[in-house]
Amino acid sequence: MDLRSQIAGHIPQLRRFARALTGDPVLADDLVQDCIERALRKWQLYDETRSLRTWLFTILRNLHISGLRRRPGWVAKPLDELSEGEDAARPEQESRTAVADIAAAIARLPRDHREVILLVALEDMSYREIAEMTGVPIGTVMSRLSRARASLRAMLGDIVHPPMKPRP
Amino acid sequence: MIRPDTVDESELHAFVDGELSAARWNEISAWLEDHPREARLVAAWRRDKEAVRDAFSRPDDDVVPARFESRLRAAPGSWRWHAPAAVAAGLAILLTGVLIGWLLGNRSGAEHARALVERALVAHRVYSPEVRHPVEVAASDSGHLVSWLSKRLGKALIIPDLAPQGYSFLGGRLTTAVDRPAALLMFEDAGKNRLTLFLVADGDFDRSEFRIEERGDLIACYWIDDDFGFAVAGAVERDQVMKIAEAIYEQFEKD
Repeated sequence: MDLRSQIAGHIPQLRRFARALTGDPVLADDLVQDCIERALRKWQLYDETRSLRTWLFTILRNLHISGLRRRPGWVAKPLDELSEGEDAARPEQESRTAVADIAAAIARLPRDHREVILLVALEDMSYREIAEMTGVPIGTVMSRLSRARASLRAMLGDIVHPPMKPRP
Repeated sequence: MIRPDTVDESELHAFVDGELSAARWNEISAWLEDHPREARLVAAWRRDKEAVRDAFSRPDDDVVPARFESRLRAAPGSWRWHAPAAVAAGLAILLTGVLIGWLLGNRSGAEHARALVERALVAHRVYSPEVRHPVEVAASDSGHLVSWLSKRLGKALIIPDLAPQGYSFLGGRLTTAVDRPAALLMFEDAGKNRLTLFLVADGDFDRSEFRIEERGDLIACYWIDDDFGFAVAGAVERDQVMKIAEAIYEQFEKD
Protein backbone atom coordinates (compact mmCIF):
# COMPACT_ATOMS: atom_id res chain seq x y z
CA MET A 1 0.00 0.00 0.00
CA ASP A 2 1.41 3.38 -0.90
CA LEU A 3 1.94 6.17 1.57
CA ARG A 4 -1.12 8.12 0.45
CA SER A 5 -3.52 5.29 1.16
CA GLN A 6 -1.80 4.69 4.46
CA ILE A 7 -2.14 8.35 5.41
CA ALA A 8 -5.78 8.32 4.32
CA GLY A 9 -6.38 5.46 6.74
CA HIS A 10 -5.32 7.65 9.65
CA ILE A 11 -7.43 10.69 8.76
CA PRO A 12 -10.47 9.77 10.89
CA GLN A 13 -8.28 9.42 14.00
CA LEU A 14 -6.32 12.57 13.19
CA ARG A 15 -9.56 14.53 12.87
CA ARG A 16 -10.88 13.23 16.15
CA PHE A 17 -7.64 14.07 17.95
CA ALA A 18 -7.51 17.52 16.33
CA ARG A 19 -11.12 18.18 17.33
CA ALA A 20 -10.37 17.25 20.90
CA LEU A 21 -7.16 19.30 20.98
CA THR A 22 -8.63 22.47 19.51
CA GLY A 23 -12.25 22.18 20.59
CA ASP A 24 -13.18 23.60 17.19
CA PRO A 25 -14.18 21.28 14.33
CA VAL A 26 -13.32 23.84 11.64
CA LEU A 27 -9.92 24.65 13.07
CA ALA A 28 -9.39 20.93 13.58
CA ASP A 29 -9.91 20.15 9.90
CA ASP A 30 -7.53 22.94 8.91
CA LEU A 31 -5.00 21.41 11.24
CA VAL A 32 -5.50 17.98 9.67
CA GLN A 33 -5.15 19.46 6.22
CA ASP A 34 -1.91 21.19 7.22
CA CYS A 35 -0.74 17.93 8.72
CA ILE A 36 -1.42 15.99 5.51
CA GLU A 37 0.29 18.62 3.41
CA ARG A 38 3.34 18.64 5.62
CA ALA A 39 3.45 14.83 5.65
CA LEU A 40 3.35 14.76 1.85
CA ARG A 41 6.08 17.37 1.60
CA LYS A 42 8.20 15.66 4.21
CA TRP A 43 7.59 12.02 3.46
CA GLN A 44 11.30 11.50 2.71
CA LEU A 45 11.88 12.07 6.41
CA TYR A 46 9.49 9.30 7.39
CA ASP A 47 11.31 6.27 8.76
CA GLU A 48 9.33 3.29 7.50
CA THR A 49 10.49 1.09 10.33
CA ARG A 50 8.53 3.28 12.69
CA SER A 51 4.84 3.82 13.21
CA LEU A 52 3.17 6.03 10.63
CA ARG A 53 0.53 6.89 13.20
CA THR A 54 3.14 8.24 15.61
CA TRP A 55 4.71 10.27 12.83
CA LEU A 56 1.41 11.80 11.68
CA PHE A 57 0.22 12.52 15.20
CA THR A 58 3.56 14.15 15.98
CA ILE A 59 3.25 16.43 12.95
CA LEU A 60 -0.30 17.39 13.88
CA ARG A 61 0.60 18.03 17.49
CA ASN A 62 3.57 20.21 16.58
CA LEU A 63 1.48 22.20 14.11
CA HIS A 64 -1.10 22.76 16.81
CA ILE A 65 1.51 23.97 19.28
CA SER A 66 3.17 26.33 16.80
CA GLY A 67 -0.29 27.64 15.90
CA LEU A 68 -1.00 28.38 19.56
CA ARG A 69 2.29 30.21 19.92
CA ARG A 70 1.53 32.36 16.94
CA ARG A 71 -1.99 33.29 17.85
CA PRO A 72 -1.86 36.86 19.12
CA GLY A 73 -2.96 37.39 22.66
CA TRP A 74 -3.09 33.74 23.61
CA VAL A 75 -2.24 33.40 27.26
CA ALA A 76 -1.96 30.17 29.16
CA LYS A 77 -4.03 30.41 32.31
CA PRO A 78 -3.70 28.21 35.33
CA LEU A 79 -6.64 25.93 35.91
CA ASP A 80 -7.97 27.76 38.93
CA GLU A 81 -8.19 31.05 37.07
CA LEU A 82 -10.52 29.76 34.44
CA SER A 83 -14.11 30.58 35.10
CA GLU A 84 -16.86 28.17 34.30
CA GLY A 85 -17.33 27.77 30.59
CA GLU A 86 -14.62 30.23 29.61
CA ASP A 87 -12.90 29.20 26.43
CA ALA A 88 -14.53 25.88 26.98
CA ALA A 89 -14.22 23.94 23.80
CA ARG A 90 -17.35 22.07 22.94
CA PRO A 91 -17.80 19.36 20.36
CA GLU A 92 -20.41 19.83 17.67
CA GLN A 93 -22.57 16.95 18.67
CA GLU A 94 -23.15 18.46 22.07
CA SER A 95 -26.58 17.59 23.22
CA ARG A 96 -25.98 15.51 26.28
CA THR A 97 -24.72 17.37 29.30
CA ALA A 98 -22.10 14.75 29.97
CA VAL A 99 -20.50 15.26 26.59
CA ALA A 100 -20.34 19.03 27.08
CA ASP A 101 -19.02 18.61 30.62
CA ILE A 102 -16.28 16.30 29.48
CA ALA A 103 -15.29 18.49 26.55
CA ALA A 104 -15.21 21.52 28.83
CA ALA A 105 -13.16 19.68 31.42
CA ILE A 106 -10.67 18.51 28.78
CA ALA A 107 -10.43 22.06 27.43
CA ARG A 108 -9.50 23.32 30.86
CA LEU A 109 -6.60 20.96 31.34
CA PRO A 110 -3.11 22.34 30.75
CA ARG A 111 -2.11 21.57 27.18
CA ASP A 112 0.56 18.99 28.02
CA HIS A 113 -1.81 17.11 30.32
CA ARG A 114 -4.61 17.30 27.79
CA GLU A 115 -2.63 15.77 24.97
CA VAL A 116 -1.53 12.82 27.08
CA ILE A 117 -4.99 11.92 28.29
CA LEU A 118 -6.43 12.34 24.78
CA LEU A 119 -3.81 10.08 23.21
CA VAL A 120 -4.43 7.46 25.86
CA ALA A 121 -8.22 7.68 25.75
CA LEU A 122 -8.83 8.23 22.03
CA GLU A 123 -5.97 6.24 20.56
CA ASP A 124 -5.03 3.74 23.25
CA MET A 125 -1.52 4.90 22.55
CA SER A 126 1.22 3.31 24.67
CA TYR A 127 3.13 5.43 27.16
CA ARG A 128 6.26 4.78 25.11
CA GLU A 129 4.65 6.02 21.90
CA ILE A 130 3.40 9.17 23.65
CA ALA A 131 6.86 9.76 25.10
CA GLU A 132 8.29 9.49 21.60
CA MET A 133 5.66 11.86 20.22
CA THR A 134 6.01 14.52 22.85
CA GLY A 135 9.76 14.19 23.31
CA VAL A 136 9.70 13.60 27.05
CA PRO A 137 10.67 10.58 29.21
CA ILE A 138 8.04 7.94 29.94
CA GLY A 139 8.05 8.98 33.60
CA THR A 140 6.94 12.47 32.57
CA VAL A 141 4.17 11.03 30.41
CA MET A 142 2.97 8.99 33.39
CA SER A 143 3.04 11.91 35.80
CA ARG A 144 1.15 14.08 33.29
CA LEU A 145 -1.42 11.36 32.84
CA SER A 146 -1.77 10.97 36.58
CA ARG A 147 -2.31 14.70 37.04
CA ALA A 148 -4.70 14.88 34.10
CA ARG A 149 -6.80 12.10 35.56
CA ALA A 150 -6.82 13.71 38.99
CA SER A 151 -7.93 17.04 37.48
CA LEU A 152 -10.66 15.36 35.47
CA ARG A 153 -11.88 13.54 38.55
CA ALA A 154 -11.93 16.84 40.45
CA MET A 155 -13.87 18.57 37.68
CA LEU A 156 -16.27 15.80 36.74
CA GLY A 157 -16.59 14.26 40.15
CA ASP A 158 -19.72 12.26 40.51
CA ILE A 159 -21.88 14.63 38.51
CA VAL A 160 -21.36 12.83 35.27
CA HIS A 161 -21.28 9.36 36.65
CA PRO A 162 -23.11 7.98 39.64
CA PRO A 163 -20.78 6.74 42.38
CA MET A 164 -19.70 3.22 41.74
CA LYS A 165 -20.16 0.55 44.33
CA PRO A 166 -17.04 -1.34 45.33
CA ARG A 167 -16.71 -4.68 43.71
CA PRO A 168 -18.34 -7.53 45.60
CA MET B 1 -1.09 -12.05 47.38
CA ILE B 2 1.24 -9.10 47.09
CA ARG B 3 1.62 -6.50 49.79
CA PRO B 4 -0.33 -3.23 49.38
CA ASP B 5 2.79 -1.10 49.52
CA THR B 6 4.12 -2.79 46.42
CA VAL B 7 1.37 -1.23 44.30
CA ASP B 8 1.74 2.45 43.60
CA GLU B 9 -0.50 4.82 41.71
CA SER B 10 1.49 4.65 38.50
CA GLU B 11 0.88 0.91 38.35
CA LEU B 12 -2.83 1.50 38.69
CA HIS B 13 -2.73 3.80 35.66
CA ALA B 14 -0.70 1.19 33.80
CA PHE B 15 -3.36 -1.34 34.82
CA VAL B 16 -6.12 0.79 33.29
CA ASP B 17 -4.14 1.42 30.11
CA GLY B 18 -3.01 -2.11 29.39
CA GLU B 19 0.63 -1.37 30.02
CA LEU B 20 1.25 -4.33 32.32
CA SER B 21 2.27 -7.89 31.64
CA ALA B 22 -0.55 -10.40 31.95
CA ALA B 23 0.96 -11.77 35.15
CA ARG B 24 1.22 -8.39 36.81
CA TRP B 25 -2.23 -7.44 35.58
CA ASN B 26 -3.66 -10.48 37.35
CA GLU B 27 -1.79 -9.63 40.52
CA ILE B 28 -3.09 -6.07 40.56
CA SER B 29 -6.57 -7.28 39.73
CA ALA B 30 -6.48 -9.56 42.75
CA TRP B 31 -5.02 -6.82 44.94
CA LEU B 32 -7.87 -4.49 43.99
CA GLU B 33 -10.39 -7.02 45.29
CA ASP B 34 -9.11 -6.23 48.75
CA HIS B 35 -8.72 -2.50 48.23
CA PRO B 36 -12.13 -1.00 47.49
CA ARG B 37 -10.94 2.60 47.65
CA GLU B 38 -8.33 2.03 44.96
CA ALA B 39 -10.76 -0.17 43.03
CA ARG B 40 -13.28 2.71 42.94
CA LEU B 41 -10.60 5.05 41.68
CA VAL B 42 -9.55 2.63 38.95
CA ALA B 43 -13.17 2.17 37.93
CA ALA B 44 -13.65 5.94 37.77
CA TRP B 45 -10.56 6.35 35.58
CA ARG B 46 -11.87 3.68 33.25
CA ARG B 47 -15.25 5.38 33.00
CA ASP B 48 -13.57 8.73 32.37
CA LYS B 49 -11.44 7.19 29.65
CA GLU B 50 -14.49 5.79 27.90
CA ALA B 51 -16.40 9.01 28.43
CA VAL B 52 -13.59 11.04 26.83
CA ARG B 53 -13.56 8.71 23.84
CA ASP B 54 -17.34 8.93 23.50
CA ALA B 55 -17.36 12.69 23.91
CA PHE B 56 -15.06 13.24 20.95
CA SER B 57 -16.25 10.45 18.68
CA ARG B 58 -18.89 10.94 16.06
CA PRO B 59 -21.01 8.51 14.13
CA ASP B 60 -19.53 9.80 10.87
CA ASP B 61 -15.93 9.54 12.03
CA ASP B 62 -15.10 6.97 9.40
CA VAL B 63 -16.25 9.18 6.54
CA VAL B 64 -13.27 11.07 5.20
CA PRO B 65 -14.37 14.40 3.71
CA ALA B 66 -13.62 14.95 0.04
CA ARG B 67 -11.21 17.81 0.74
CA PHE B 68 -8.76 15.39 2.34
CA GLU B 69 -9.17 12.69 -0.28
CA SER B 70 -8.59 15.13 -3.12
CA ARG B 71 -5.63 16.64 -1.31
CA LEU B 72 -4.09 13.19 -1.05
CA ARG B 73 -4.75 12.32 -4.68
CA ALA B 74 -2.93 15.46 -5.78
CA ALA B 75 0.81 15.29 -6.24
CA PRO B 76 2.66 16.46 -3.14
CA GLY B 77 2.06 20.16 -2.81
CA SER B 78 0.59 20.43 -6.28
CA TRP B 79 -2.11 22.79 -7.37
CA ARG B 80 -5.18 20.99 -8.55
CA TRP B 81 -7.00 23.87 -10.09
CA HIS B 82 -6.38 24.99 -13.64
CA ALA B 83 -2.67 25.09 -14.06
CA PRO B 84 -1.35 27.63 -16.51
CA ALA B 85 2.42 27.81 -16.43
CA ALA B 86 2.42 31.10 -14.53
CA VAL B 87 0.38 29.63 -11.71
CA ALA B 88 2.54 26.51 -11.60
CA ALA B 89 5.65 28.65 -11.39
CA GLY B 90 4.07 30.84 -8.75
CA LEU B 91 3.10 27.80 -6.79
CA ALA B 92 6.64 26.46 -6.84
CA ILE B 93 7.74 29.73 -5.30
CA LEU B 94 4.88 29.55 -2.84
CA LEU B 95 5.83 26.06 -1.72
CA THR B 96 9.48 26.99 -1.43
CA GLY B 97 8.36 29.83 0.79
CA VAL B 98 6.30 27.46 2.89
CA LEU B 99 9.23 25.08 3.18
CA ILE B 100 11.66 27.83 4.11
CA GLY B 101 9.15 29.19 6.56
CA TRP B 102 8.83 25.77 8.09
CA LEU B 103 12.58 25.31 8.32
CA LEU B 104 13.02 28.73 9.88
CA GLY B 105 10.17 28.80 12.26
CA ASN B 106 8.08 25.65 11.99
CA ARG B 107 4.97 27.77 12.08
CA SER B 108 1.42 27.18 11.08
CA GLY B 109 -0.42 29.97 9.35
CA ALA B 110 -3.74 28.16 9.53
CA GLU B 111 -5.09 29.91 12.59
CA HIS B 112 -3.88 33.27 11.42
CA ALA B 113 -5.39 32.75 7.98
CA ARG B 114 -8.67 31.80 9.60
CA ALA B 115 -8.82 35.10 11.47
CA LEU B 116 -8.22 36.82 8.15
CA VAL B 117 -11.10 35.13 6.34
CA GLU B 118 -13.48 35.73 9.24
CA ARG B 119 -12.79 39.47 9.07
CA ALA B 120 -13.10 39.45 5.30
CA LEU B 121 -16.51 37.77 5.43
CA VAL B 122 -17.77 40.28 7.99
CA ALA B 123 -16.46 43.17 5.91
CA HIS B 124 -18.18 41.77 2.84
CA ARG B 125 -21.49 41.42 4.66
CA VAL B 126 -21.28 44.90 6.16
CA TYR B 127 -20.15 46.92 3.17
CA SER B 128 -21.31 45.15 0.02
CA PRO B 129 -25.08 45.82 0.52
CA GLU B 130 -24.46 49.58 0.82
CA VAL B 131 -26.26 51.45 -1.92
CA ARG B 132 -24.98 54.98 -1.44
CA HIS B 133 -21.66 54.40 0.36
CA PRO B 134 -20.25 51.04 -0.63
CA VAL B 135 -16.76 52.55 -0.81
CA GLU B 136 -14.92 55.53 0.65
CA VAL B 137 -12.99 56.32 -2.50
CA ALA B 138 -14.54 55.56 -5.87
CA ALA B 139 -12.85 53.89 -8.82
CA SER B 140 -12.72 57.24 -10.59
CA ASP B 141 -10.11 58.29 -8.03
CA SER B 142 -8.08 55.06 -8.18
CA GLY B 143 -4.68 56.75 -8.16
CA HIS B 144 -5.40 58.44 -4.85
CA LEU B 145 -6.98 55.27 -3.45
CA VAL B 146 -3.93 53.14 -4.25
CA SER B 147 -1.44 55.57 -2.73
CA TRP B 148 -3.61 56.15 0.35
CA LEU B 149 -4.22 52.46 1.09
CA SER B 150 -0.60 51.54 0.31
CA LYS B 151 0.54 54.16 2.77
CA ARG B 152 -1.85 53.02 5.51
CA LEU B 153 -1.11 49.32 5.02
CA GLY B 154 2.61 49.94 4.71
CA LYS B 155 2.90 47.87 1.52
CA ALA B 156 2.35 48.84 -2.10
CA LEU B 157 -0.88 47.34 -3.31
CA ILE B 158 -2.45 47.24 -6.75
CA ILE B 159 -6.03 47.19 -7.98
CA PRO B 160 -6.34 43.86 -9.76
CA ASP B 161 -8.06 43.93 -13.13
CA LEU B 162 -10.97 41.50 -12.95
CA ALA B 163 -12.58 42.54 -16.25
CA PRO B 164 -11.77 39.15 -17.82
CA GLN B 165 -13.80 37.58 -14.99
CA GLY B 166 -16.65 40.01 -15.64
CA TYR B 167 -16.08 42.41 -12.75
CA SER B 168 -15.54 46.16 -12.84
CA PHE B 169 -13.89 48.05 -10.01
CA LEU B 170 -16.15 50.18 -7.78
CA GLY B 171 -13.63 51.56 -5.31
CA GLY B 172 -12.24 50.82 -1.91
CA ARG B 173 -12.02 51.70 1.72
CA LEU B 174 -9.79 51.44 4.74
CA THR B 175 -11.06 49.01 7.36
CA THR B 176 -9.59 46.89 10.15
CA ALA B 177 -8.18 43.41 10.62
CA VAL B 178 -7.70 41.96 14.11
CA ASP B 179 -4.67 44.06 14.98
CA ARG B 180 -3.85 46.17 11.94
CA PRO B 181 -5.35 48.20 9.11
CA ALA B 182 -6.93 46.40 6.19
CA ALA B 183 -8.07 47.44 2.74
CA LEU B 184 -11.35 46.43 1.17
CA LEU B 185 -11.63 46.68 -2.60
CA MET B 186 -15.05 46.25 -4.13
CA PHE B 187 -15.99 44.95 -7.56
CA GLU B 188 -19.32 44.49 -9.30
CA ASP B 189 -20.47 42.36 -12.21
CA ALA B 190 -23.07 43.27 -14.86
CA GLY B 191 -25.81 41.86 -12.64
CA LYS B 192 -24.77 44.20 -9.78
CA ASN B 193 -23.41 41.28 -7.77
CA ARG B 194 -20.59 42.47 -5.61
CA LEU B 195 -17.27 40.89 -4.89
CA THR B 196 -14.79 42.13 -2.29
CA LEU B 197 -11.08 41.71 -1.91
CA PHE B 198 -9.86 42.06 1.67
CA LEU B 199 -6.16 42.81 2.08
CA VAL B 200 -3.94 42.99 5.14
CA ALA B 201 -0.22 43.71 5.08
CA ASP B 202 1.19 40.45 6.23
CA GLY B 203 4.94 40.19 5.82
CA ASP B 204 5.48 38.42 9.13
CA PHE B 205 3.40 35.34 8.41
CA ASP B 206 4.14 32.28 6.34
CA ARG B 207 2.91 32.00 2.81
CA SER B 208 -0.04 29.69 2.62
CA GLU B 209 -1.88 27.68 0.06
CA PHE B 210 -5.25 28.78 -1.24
CA ARG B 211 -8.15 27.82 0.95
CA ILE B 212 -11.87 28.00 0.49
CA GLU B 213 -14.38 28.97 3.15
CA GLU B 214 -18.09 28.65 2.48
CA ARG B 215 -20.52 30.44 4.76
CA GLY B 216 -24.17 30.34 3.79
CA ASP B 217 -24.51 31.91 0.36
CA LEU B 218 -21.05 33.46 0.63
CA ILE B 219 -17.82 31.89 -0.46
CA ALA B 220 -14.32 33.17 0.18
CA CYS B 221 -10.94 32.12 -1.12
CA TYR B 222 -8.01 33.19 1.04
CA TRP B 223 -4.26 32.91 1.03
CA ILE B 224 -1.13 34.64 2.27
CA ASP B 225 1.84 35.69 0.18
CA ASP B 226 5.00 37.58 1.10
CA ASP B 227 3.36 40.98 1.38
CA PHE B 228 -0.32 40.49 2.04
CA GLY B 229 -3.00 38.26 3.38
CA PHE B 230 -5.80 38.04 0.81
CA ALA B 231 -9.42 37.04 1.01
CA VAL B 232 -11.75 37.39 -1.94
CA ALA B 233 -15.43 36.97 -1.06
CA GLY B 234 -18.75 36.99 -2.86
CA ALA B 235 -21.92 35.05 -3.52
CA VAL B 236 -20.40 33.13 -6.39
CA GLU B 237 -19.72 29.56 -7.44
CA ARG B 238 -16.73 27.73 -6.08
CA ASP B 239 -14.91 27.37 -9.41
CA GLN B 240 -15.53 31.03 -10.14
CA VAL B 241 -13.97 32.25 -6.89
CA MET B 242 -11.01 29.97 -7.61
CA LYS B 243 -10.50 31.57 -11.03
CA ILE B 244 -10.78 35.04 -9.53
CA ALA B 245 -8.30 34.13 -6.80
CA GLU B 246 -5.85 32.85 -9.41
CA ALA B 247 -6.18 36.07 -11.39
CA ILE B 248 -5.54 38.21 -8.30
CA TYR B 249 -2.63 36.02 -7.23
CA GLU B 250 -0.95 36.27 -10.64
CA GLN B 251 -1.39 40.02 -10.83
CA PHE B 252 0.12 40.58 -7.40
CA GLU B 253 3.01 38.21 -8.19
CA LYS B 254 3.81 40.14 -11.37
CA ASP B 255 3.70 43.45 -9.62
